[in-house]
Amino acid sequence: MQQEQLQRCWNACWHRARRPLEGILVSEEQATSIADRAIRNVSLDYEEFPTEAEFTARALEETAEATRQLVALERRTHADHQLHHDPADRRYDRNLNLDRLQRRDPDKGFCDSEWNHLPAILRPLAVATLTRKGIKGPDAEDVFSDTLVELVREREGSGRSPILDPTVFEEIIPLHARIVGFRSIDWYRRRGALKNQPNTGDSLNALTDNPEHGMQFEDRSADPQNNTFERIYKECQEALTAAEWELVFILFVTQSATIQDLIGDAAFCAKFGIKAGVSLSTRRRVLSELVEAALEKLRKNLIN
Amino acid sequence: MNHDLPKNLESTRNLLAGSLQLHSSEQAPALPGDLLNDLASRFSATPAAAAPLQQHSWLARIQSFIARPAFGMAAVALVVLGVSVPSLMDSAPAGGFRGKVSGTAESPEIRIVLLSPPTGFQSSLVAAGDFESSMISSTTTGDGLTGRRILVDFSTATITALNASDEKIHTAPLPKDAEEISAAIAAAVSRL
Repeated sequence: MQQEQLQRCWNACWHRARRPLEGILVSEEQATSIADRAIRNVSLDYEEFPTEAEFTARALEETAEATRQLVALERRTHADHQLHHDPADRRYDRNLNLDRLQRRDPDKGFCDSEWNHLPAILRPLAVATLTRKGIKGPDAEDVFSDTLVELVREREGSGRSPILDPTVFEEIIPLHARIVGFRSIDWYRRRGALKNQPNTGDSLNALTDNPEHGMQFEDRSADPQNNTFERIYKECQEALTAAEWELVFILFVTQSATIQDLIGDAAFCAKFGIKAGVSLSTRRRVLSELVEAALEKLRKNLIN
Repeated sequence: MNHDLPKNLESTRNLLAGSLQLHSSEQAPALPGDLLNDLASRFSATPAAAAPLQQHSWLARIQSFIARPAFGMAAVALVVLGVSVPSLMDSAPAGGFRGKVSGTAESPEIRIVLLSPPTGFQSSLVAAGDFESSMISSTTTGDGLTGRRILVDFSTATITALNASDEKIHTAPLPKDAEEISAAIAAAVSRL
């Protein structure tokens, strides 16, 4: 472990603690405390320092989870559901009470009056997404209604409704965006417009109910959380070797070195079987091929 | 990056480039020197370069502790396990290490065994930070287990505390609200 690696990990974790997901902003002091603890906790899972990519991914994951838990706890304690909401977030007016949304009556289901306010928050965001996808007017309203039902429908495998997944209210927005994406695919499939096109997979039901079926990310931009490094690493961890992860992590994630820097680093090149005596142009060619191969593997994993 | 790539790989590169989601308008504070030194010693690396050591006042340390996730629940567990004071008074930085290295609350004699827990529950319980991860394990049956233990049985929806003689000391229903399970486990631990 090098100080520079830990410094980079610290920076990433601190920023993640400040903004664990879109719409949440935690104080700098609390972010510092959470990042410190998260990194310490993750370090306990390793006897030896793993690759920087793995350690950073794990620390980011722990940081984001701890921050969400903290925000949820403080909102509950202070009965203030707007606490830690990022004032710069203008997507909707105010947060709702997540606990009430998640309250399930054994007989009546999810029937808290807080649900009356949810459509007004989700509709503009959903309609904008559906309009982009070419679903408008009454069709968009139909799809939107389906998505609300989907939030409370119990999954066959776990018997758990999606609305129970979020820890903080802001997570409902990307959760619903994903459901909107899948329901729009279902809508197009029913219309027969997407027959035989790739990456349309099964319906949301099949994707979420069957644990053997990989989730398809047909529109990663719908959920910024999909694009965090910890999520990408988790999804694609086995697609790359540790050395390949190190390569793409340094070059593209932290951008802490250029390909030129790596070519000049004989010890680094040796990790890929490049002998010390080979020319710089050979090193460049080999490393470039490795980079492209690693990115291609990631690309395929991210769309499958 | 300085690396020419085929066009079809540019989106993947851009995805990775933005994946840390740093905010350029903000700068993270300096890496705490005590964190750096603790990790350097843990991983037996070259002694860390002298970094400015952040001195935390007693008050700041308390404030930091209170600001931690799930403080309320953790406080219950800490009191129950009876080691909260030492963990606060030692020189460990805010947060401390979990597990065996930690000076934080741990009762190695007591095990928390989750019987057929829902997927991800164990990791959620660990992440909540109320109990040491080394105390928690999952299995499908409580048969053959010995020693002081808490059985959290999701099939029968019960929490049972057993002493070293396998006597049931405490039984309680498993709360339906997942948020309350941690506190219920802490209550069971307190009976042992």
